[in-house]
Amino acid sequence: MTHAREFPRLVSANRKKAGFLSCALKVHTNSSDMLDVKRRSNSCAMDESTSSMNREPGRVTEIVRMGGSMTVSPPTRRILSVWLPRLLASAFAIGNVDGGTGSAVQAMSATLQPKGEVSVPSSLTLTAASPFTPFTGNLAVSYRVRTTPSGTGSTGTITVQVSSDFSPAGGPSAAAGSLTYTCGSASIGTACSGTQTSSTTTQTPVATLPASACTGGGGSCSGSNPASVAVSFSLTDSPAYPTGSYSASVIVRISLV
Amino acid sequence: MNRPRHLIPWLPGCLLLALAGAAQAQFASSGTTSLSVAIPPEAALQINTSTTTLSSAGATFNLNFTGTTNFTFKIRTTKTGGTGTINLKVTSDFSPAGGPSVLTPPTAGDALAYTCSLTGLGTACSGSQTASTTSSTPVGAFGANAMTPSAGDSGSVSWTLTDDPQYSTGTYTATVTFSISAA
Repeated sequence: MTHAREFPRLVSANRKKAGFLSCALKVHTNSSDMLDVKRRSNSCAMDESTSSMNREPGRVTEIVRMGGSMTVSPPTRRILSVWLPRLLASAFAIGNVDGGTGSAVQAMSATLQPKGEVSVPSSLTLTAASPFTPFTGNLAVSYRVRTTPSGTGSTGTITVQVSSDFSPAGGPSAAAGSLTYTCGSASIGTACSGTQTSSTTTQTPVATLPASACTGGGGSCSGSNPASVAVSFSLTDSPAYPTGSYSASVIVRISLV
Repeated sequence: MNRPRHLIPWLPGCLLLALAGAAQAQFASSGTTSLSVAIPPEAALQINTSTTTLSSAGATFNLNFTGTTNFTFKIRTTKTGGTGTINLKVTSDFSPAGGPSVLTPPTAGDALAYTCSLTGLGTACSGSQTASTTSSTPVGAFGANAMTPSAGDSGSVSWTLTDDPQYSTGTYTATVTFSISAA
């Protein structure tokens, strides 16, 4: 048979220590005088029935709030405070040999695969300075690359492709050759030369990446990390385009061959 | 409702980290950017006859001086409710003095008049217009969603200048400015 008794002072003290402001606790005793602290409000979560100290009739020792639902009794604290430092000290001592020195050789190897990654802003707005002059905008392409040494044939390319042509229909069209670009200098590799016409069907070049390329750190690698190349887009402004806002998607790829 | 109050002090830092991550573009084997462009109403024109010479074929005063100015224009007006115009204005009256004058003709009725012609898009001015030094006068008008071809359309203004015997002999020059607008 279980019956409940209220302990207002005790509950109040525990709530204050635990930091609960709106937790209502009841201490129940059952026929074997084991205490169960039951949760009555959603604002606190605890169950002291597992604490050995709480099994003493009529006593609730300490409620420590950790993560909102954890209780630690004094014996547990004592065990942790005494043994935890010792365990840590033992762990650090492993490997030391009293009264002598020793050495060991550990062979380590790492195989670095050619890799490349690229990053571009999520959007670019093309603008024009005067009527019927091309809309222009510069796309900053950041990239990191590691190619294998020369002789192994590993080089790379950075390309662009119009993955989704301008919409809505009736305005500019990359498929019609309205979108062109030029490339600025590339931190690593050789940027495209001349004016390129963007395509919706093929990848067109931005930069070619040489063998033995690596990014950042200077020396035989590039000085900058990430490397960068600017792509300057130009979109024809034809009076035949209806007024309105148009958008297209351009995908920039880096690939190693 | 259970409120994890112990997380509250960490929330500003977590938000900053999340925002920083969102602002930083991510590296991957490919990246996609959205190109956007807002195409506004625009208009432009080019005068193909830089100097229009007015001449008279007759030896008498009953034949006025005439000449033609040709121009090319491009225009794009707003799809709904848009308009466009081509106007002209005499920005510099005939000089030197003693000859024809747009602002102060020696004889009432003397005028620099013109008719208009547009090929393709737009509506040319109707009838004979009198050029003015104080206000713009119409050459052509355009409605909503007017779009010329990429190469543009062409137009012309045919001038007539009264040949008044009170004009002293000599060469007189005036400047006419054409303007085009779109909305």
